[in-house]
Amino acid sequence: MKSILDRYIDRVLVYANKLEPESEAIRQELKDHLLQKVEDLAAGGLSREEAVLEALRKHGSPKVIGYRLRGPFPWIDIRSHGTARGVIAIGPRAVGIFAFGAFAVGVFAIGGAAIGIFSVGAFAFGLLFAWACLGIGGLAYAAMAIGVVAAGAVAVGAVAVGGVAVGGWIPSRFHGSVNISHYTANNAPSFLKYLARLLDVAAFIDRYIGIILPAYTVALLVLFYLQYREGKRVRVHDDWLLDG
Amino acid sequence: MKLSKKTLDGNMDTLLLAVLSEGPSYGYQMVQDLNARAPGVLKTGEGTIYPVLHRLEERKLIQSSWRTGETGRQRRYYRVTSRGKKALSDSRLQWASLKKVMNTVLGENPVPEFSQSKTGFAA
Repeated sequence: MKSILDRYIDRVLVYANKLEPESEAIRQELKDHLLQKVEDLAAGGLSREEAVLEALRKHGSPKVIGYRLRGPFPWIDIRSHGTARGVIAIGPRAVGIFAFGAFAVGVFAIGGAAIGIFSVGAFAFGLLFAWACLGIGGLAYAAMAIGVVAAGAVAVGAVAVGGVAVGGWIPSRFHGSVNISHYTANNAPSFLKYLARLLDVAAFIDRYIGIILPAYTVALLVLFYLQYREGKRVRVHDDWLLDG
Repeated sequence: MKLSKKTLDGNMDTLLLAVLSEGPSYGYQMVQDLNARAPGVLKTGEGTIYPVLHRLEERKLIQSSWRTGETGRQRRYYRVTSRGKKALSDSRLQWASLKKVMNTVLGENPVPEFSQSKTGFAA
């Protein structure tokens, strides 16, 4: 049966997740420290059991020490113990960060799809029509500025809807009949035309959404599974006390 | 005045380099040294020095070797490398400069002392 000190060190190593030679060196180093501490405390008058518990208490949380020993961000680490020995696995932090990243990407992808549905292209055309309306006066300048500032995430979608309305309304109302402006879409600055082409990602998203969404869903499920498996592994090795 | 965990963690590298600059040592002994000189500096746990030591070794600021200790157990000794000595000297200069700046701005005694009167606190 393992001693309480060994079980404490086991727990540090579960969180440290190091490869075999290094994990053995850490074990030896920590054990030497703990044994020395126990000996000193026992020499100071504590019973052996009290000395062991006091040494462990002073040594600190195995979770904190283990995670700090884990070192730099583990993009991929190789499992050093357990049934998954030798199998490339992603550490819990990495899984968490990847999962969060994937979730964020997913949110943007779905947001992008929504924008695609409402047509970003229409937003760009809305900008072009705003340019066409610049001749009306100061109000148009303000509208233009708001349109540009509102290019952030959710606002883009909302403005896109407005763009669709403006794009649909102006030509039907004024096309070929009333000349309200000296500026038209044809003589708009080239950067606006470029922007219109650039923002037309809707077509791309519409075309590939059938691939993007399922792929994202599968990737997310895989990541959640890896996270679950890592959590289970830690729990199996971590059925002991002394948490925190 | 207790130092915050963040301040301590951020400067543990320098503290350990300073201890090791006095001669090769091992984890337990370093903990004893630190506790004797600055009680409470390892309040997050004595074992937290090991991640710092391993990080310093990865950065080649210190070097370790295994030797048999007086207890007969294998013990890991650390010593400062020339790179570590330079890093420590840089840290010392940084601290001296920072101390000078802080003293200039805050004064030599940055903690205001208050005397309590019947009506409340008066400077």
